[in-house]
Amino acid sequence: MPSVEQRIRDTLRYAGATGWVHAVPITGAGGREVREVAVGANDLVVMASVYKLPLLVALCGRFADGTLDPAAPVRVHPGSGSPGPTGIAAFLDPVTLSWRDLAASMIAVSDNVAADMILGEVGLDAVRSVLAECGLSRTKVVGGPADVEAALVRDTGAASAAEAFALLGDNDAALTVSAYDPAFASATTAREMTRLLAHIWSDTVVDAKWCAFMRRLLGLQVWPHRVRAGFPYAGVEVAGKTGTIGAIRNEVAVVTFPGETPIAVAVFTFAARADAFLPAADAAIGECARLAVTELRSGRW
Amino acid sequence: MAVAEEGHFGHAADRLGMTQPPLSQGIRRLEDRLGVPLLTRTARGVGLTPAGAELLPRATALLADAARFTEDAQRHRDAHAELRIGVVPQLSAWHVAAVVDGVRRAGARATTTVASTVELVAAVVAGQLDCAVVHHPALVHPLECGGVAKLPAEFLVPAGRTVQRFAHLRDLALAAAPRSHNTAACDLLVDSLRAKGIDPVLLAAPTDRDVVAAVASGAAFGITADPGLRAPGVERVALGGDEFFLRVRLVWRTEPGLRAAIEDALAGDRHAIG
Repeated sequence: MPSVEQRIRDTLRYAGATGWVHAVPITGAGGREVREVAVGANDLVVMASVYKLPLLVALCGRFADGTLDPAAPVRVHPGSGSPGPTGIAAFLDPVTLSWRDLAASMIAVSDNVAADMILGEVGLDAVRSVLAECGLSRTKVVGGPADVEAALVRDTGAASAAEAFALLGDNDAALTVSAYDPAFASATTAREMTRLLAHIWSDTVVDAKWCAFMRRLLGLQVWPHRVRAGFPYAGVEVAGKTGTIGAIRNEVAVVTFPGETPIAVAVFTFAARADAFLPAADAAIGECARLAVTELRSGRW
Repeated sequence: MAVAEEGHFGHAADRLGMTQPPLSQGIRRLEDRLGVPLLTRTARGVGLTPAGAELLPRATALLADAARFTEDAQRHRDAHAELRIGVVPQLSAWHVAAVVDGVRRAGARATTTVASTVELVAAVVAGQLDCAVVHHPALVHPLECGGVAKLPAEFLVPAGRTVQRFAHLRDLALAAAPRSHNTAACDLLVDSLRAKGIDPVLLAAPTDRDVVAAVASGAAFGITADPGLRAPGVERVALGGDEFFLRVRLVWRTEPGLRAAIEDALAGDRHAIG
């Protein structure tokens, strides 16, 4: 039988995508885990909305040190942030909700308006501090959704964000935009994202109370088409965060089978086709995650 | 140079896309060979010794000259050696001739190899071809690529059959390049037809020759980007605007000096069908 790494590469190629994968069991703060599955795990990749994970950690840092009240009311105008497709952006009227509920919307449905509000409050420097504290030296966050859209409009010469996204989905255009380039966009490696998840699952960042809060939010994520699709089994917990922009489709998640060690898995992909909807590429993320996690559950001892 | 500019081994290694140990070792070897230390290494970072500071501008000039040397050599190679170009079988004889003729008029000679997109990408990566015209969209990583050219294409249908809209293709198979030749382009074609309301079975037809044979048999329809293709039992029909045109793009590892000549030849055929 081919190696699991080869099977992962074949799965991605069959789906018409290039990909980068890392999976590692979360054995706790002390032990140095040596078992892993890695395919291009040290290559720089574009994060897209996966950047909301370190942003969440930075926000929880403010909750934990008492400089921000999690329950403080925040007035949000739907038109005030970037026009993401989900969450508050879908509303027509202003809403008031707490910082911790903004965090819930940012993680559960990848709410861009909520993310812009949170980034505006905690700032990029706080996110960079989180990355430094967790030893993620190759990860960099350069801005939020509003910044990404401004860059897209600039790169494509489009009149609006909507027009820029339409161009991004056009197979005739085959754009090379800075949003696709890890040298310019917010970027990380598959290995560094599993390390961040391991910190959250081991209570080794912020504090135990807020790590539990973050784990709960990540477990509320609604998308069933990527990592979750690889584990359609009763009782399995999948807690994660997706990221999507144009041909880029990502998810970083922790998969927990009942009574087993949780396994962190990160899958980053770049599809050959520009189409906005590619169910085969989404499903391939689930297959790659399942191949990697299964290998760590029953092999490589 | 990168270390001097960054003042840090780790940052310099990142910029050069390598890890730190080989970079440090490389600089140590250079210092050993020259017999003089070039860098000061302290807890605060990396700095230049007086020798390093004096030699750095000359190293910069040497590297720039080396880059120019390689570029000049490439220009000579492109002008005198033959350019090995790969093409997909869907690229018609007319287009292949246009490309080779374009290269000749630019003062060079081209040879062509016909293979599937997957094979062509592998051959360019391996250095067996200088560049290739592949079916887009395709997995081209780690190659670089030019813009997408859309070559006019028409549907081929069994003679005597009235085909005015997509629904009229309903009970026919689709004769097209097999999915293994390029999963992404094949899936895009199938999805585009499904969006038009038909969901044909795929019949593997790697070349236009296989396509016309399947169409003439009355069992299938196909698509061709060959402006001159006519065959008994086969009729040409224009359907769906430019959506079903053949998308191709040039891929390379080292940008060929004759890139413009090739891409102009691909783009300059707008009047070929008409």
